[in-house]
Amino acid sequence: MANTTAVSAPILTADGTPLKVSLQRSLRRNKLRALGLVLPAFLFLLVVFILPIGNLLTRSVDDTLINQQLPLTFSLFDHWDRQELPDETLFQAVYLDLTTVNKFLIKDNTGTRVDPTDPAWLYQIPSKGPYKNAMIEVDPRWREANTWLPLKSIVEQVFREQDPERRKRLQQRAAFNLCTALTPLTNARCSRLFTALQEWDGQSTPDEAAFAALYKDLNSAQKILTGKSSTRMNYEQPGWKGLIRTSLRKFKKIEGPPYREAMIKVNKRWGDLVFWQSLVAMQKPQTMGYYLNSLDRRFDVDKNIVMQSAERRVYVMLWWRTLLVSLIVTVGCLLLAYPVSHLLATLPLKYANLLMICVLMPFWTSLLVRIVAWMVMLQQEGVINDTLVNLHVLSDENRLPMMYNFTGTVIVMIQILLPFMILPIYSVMKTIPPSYMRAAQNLGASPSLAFLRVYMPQTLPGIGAGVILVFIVAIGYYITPDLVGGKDGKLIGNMIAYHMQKSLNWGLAAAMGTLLLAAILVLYWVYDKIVGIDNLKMG
Amino acid sequence: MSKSLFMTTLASAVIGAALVVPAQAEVTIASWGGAYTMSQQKAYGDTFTGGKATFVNYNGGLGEVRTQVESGNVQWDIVDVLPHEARVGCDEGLFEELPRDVFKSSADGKSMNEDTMVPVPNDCVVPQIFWSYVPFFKNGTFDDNAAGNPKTIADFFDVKKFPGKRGIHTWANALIEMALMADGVAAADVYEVMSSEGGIDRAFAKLDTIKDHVVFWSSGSKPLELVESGEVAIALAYNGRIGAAILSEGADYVVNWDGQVLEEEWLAMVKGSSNYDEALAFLIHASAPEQQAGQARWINYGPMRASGLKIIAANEPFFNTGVDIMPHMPNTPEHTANAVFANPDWWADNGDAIAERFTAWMGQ
Repeated sequence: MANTTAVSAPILTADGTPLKVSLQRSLRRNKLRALGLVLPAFLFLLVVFILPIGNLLTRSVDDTLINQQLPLTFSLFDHWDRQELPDETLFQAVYLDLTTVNKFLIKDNTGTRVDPTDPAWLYQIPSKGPYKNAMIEVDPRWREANTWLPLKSIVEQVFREQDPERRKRLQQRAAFNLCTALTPLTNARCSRLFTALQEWDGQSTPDEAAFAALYKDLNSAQKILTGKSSTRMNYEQPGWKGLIRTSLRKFKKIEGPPYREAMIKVNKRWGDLVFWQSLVAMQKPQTMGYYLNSLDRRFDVDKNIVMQSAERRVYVMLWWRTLLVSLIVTVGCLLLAYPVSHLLATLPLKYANLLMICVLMPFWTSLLVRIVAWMVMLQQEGVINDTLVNLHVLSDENRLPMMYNFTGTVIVMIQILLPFMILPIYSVMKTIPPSYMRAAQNLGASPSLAFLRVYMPQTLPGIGAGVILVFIVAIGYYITPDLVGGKDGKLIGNMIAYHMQKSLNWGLAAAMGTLLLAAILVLYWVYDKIVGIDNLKMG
Repeated sequence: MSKSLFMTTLASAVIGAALVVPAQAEVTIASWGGAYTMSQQKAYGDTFTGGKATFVNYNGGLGEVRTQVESGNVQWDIVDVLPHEARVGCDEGLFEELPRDVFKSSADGKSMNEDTMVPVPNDCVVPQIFWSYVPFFKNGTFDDNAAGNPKTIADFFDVKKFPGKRGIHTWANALIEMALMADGVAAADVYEVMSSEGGIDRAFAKLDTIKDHVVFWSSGSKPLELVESGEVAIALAYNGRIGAAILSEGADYVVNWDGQVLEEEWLAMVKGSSNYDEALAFLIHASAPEQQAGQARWINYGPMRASGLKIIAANEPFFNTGVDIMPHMPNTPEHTANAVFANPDWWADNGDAIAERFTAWMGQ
């Protein structure tokens, strides 16, 4: 066989290329065209979906920030027995971490540890200068022009721009970019360095002025880092924020070792064992702490997982409540949507269209308008209660509480999410020929049996799609419950929003978001096992 | 020839003018919306000559600001922030640190920082207004009540003497302070008790006494609807919302200033704003005593600068409808006789833990 192909001449196309090559070419062209068509969608997904989820996952375990802030402290931390107040060494480490620019602020050095037996870690760059030799001693790389060149190129880029308006804007950004290149922060500004680098020739080791600019810019970057870290530390132990803020102001006055007594004098909380012990949970650049937090657990001083203190336990309750609300809403939507969808699918077209408009009208109406309408209907002085009282069904004192509680949340959410259930079920029912039911009944099935054995199984794909849609949307709801739920209105989504916007504890928000995502994936998997995902019809 | 010269000149003049026009820079200010932003628009925006001031609404917190600053894509130039955010934003490097000597002194020569009624926490923020959480009810609600109208914060927590539902917000700020005052703690000692062992338990124990009578609200307009519809007998609300109903809509509400909790409101410039000069000019303009006072023509939030309050007092009736505004201001000596100025440092330390505890308490 191989022989024959080798001997016989290859088949050629009209323009003389072998048929095989030509075929491959046209196939490749088709593939490229297909790829070109899906590429925009793929890129879109990548940018708005996959990357943010990756970011979410990394944030939820990331504790590098605090490790950049307290590198000395954490290097020496394991030498402390954690049972009583640490000795001078650890106090000194914290003092140095908070007051001096250390080399660990520089991106490349992130995550490295000092050798506690090496006395070099005690060395600090004098805050009043001179800086050049001191900084080179801490990190000899600063002597090399090569270390500075990437920074210089950021500055030069600006001056390559001719248009003065755009150059001004670039210059603004360049100061930030310098700090971003140097430190883990993107919101620090290295303006002094920007100016100093303009003067530098790009060959020899920069002069004292450049080093001074570098030091001062790093110093202000470090302050920002400290601000961010104190937010992190405060979450582990309330009080860190105030402790750090007051200490920073007063630490400047401490003239040198020993630090222990001096620091406790600055703020007596430094003498409180609880604060020192709380550092345990942050010692590793990767942490499970946020996940523990979002399940009402935390690390104790021996790194065992323990329950959060009783009065702060809230998340487990909120997880269960979120799940419960979502389940009730899903079941409620299903019970209401099924007959409506059936009606929609079987009515003559002119009535069905009218009914469809009734389903879609609320769907198109602003969410807030619908919520307010429900408030008017359901509150204790509202339409329903007034009517019942006027009809003497209820006495004036016994008006039903239907708003600002669990009932209100469920009613409003069901109404809002109902179309998400109706539409997929309707679209599936539409495709089931009415003759099937008639055939079943002709063959002797009672109407209910015909429904159960013939009709309903065929609607399962629609039910599945509706259930998944409604459940997934419901589990992430938070504004509606907050407005109508009263004391039961807080769901896990509210806490995610709180930690994103108010407490700025993005790590915790990311951990909760990840858990929410995981919960949905698990349910998806369960659905696949029970019903089968091929059986899903969205329309 | 001369005609074409004329045309060229004209053309270049037109192009020149076109180039000049965009120099009219736009300052974007993120604020809370509603009547409050309207008052800022009238008092600061319309009187600002250094560019166009555009207000956008936001829901508070520093989430958006942090995203904008850290991604280098700054959309807002100025943001209107609460006391906690005023401190955190500066600590975390989300706001510009501003020179202090550019801001306007008061008529009696006090610098802006000296003229501000509470210590200015850092160099990032400039004073705005005081607002407060305060109880109010519809006149007549308690007419049939043996004890008459509630008058003090203790009355707000006394559901036996003053029956009826209470409207309170869904977060802990101010409620802890009020509960302690109602429990007999003097206004001046509130934060000492809150920092002491068992102080917070005491506050929650007091909150427990009204829990079964509470309707929670989470948006500022809600307590007014609750009181107006009779859903609750008495509610806590932002004083400006109550004032707007009384002053502009003629509502017959009674405000109990006793035990109110005052909060600061600051303006700050977002770090990396591309309109630094214009934004700074706007901040100078908005923090000047005249503009601080001017805001009170439109809303009853109290200027933070003492000289602003003096201007209002000297020019009554000051409100735009021609009525006196001072009786509705939260930070006058009469209204702060028994009141607490919220302590942001305490809340910065304990806010997250209390938020969790409060949410747990609500859900129990």
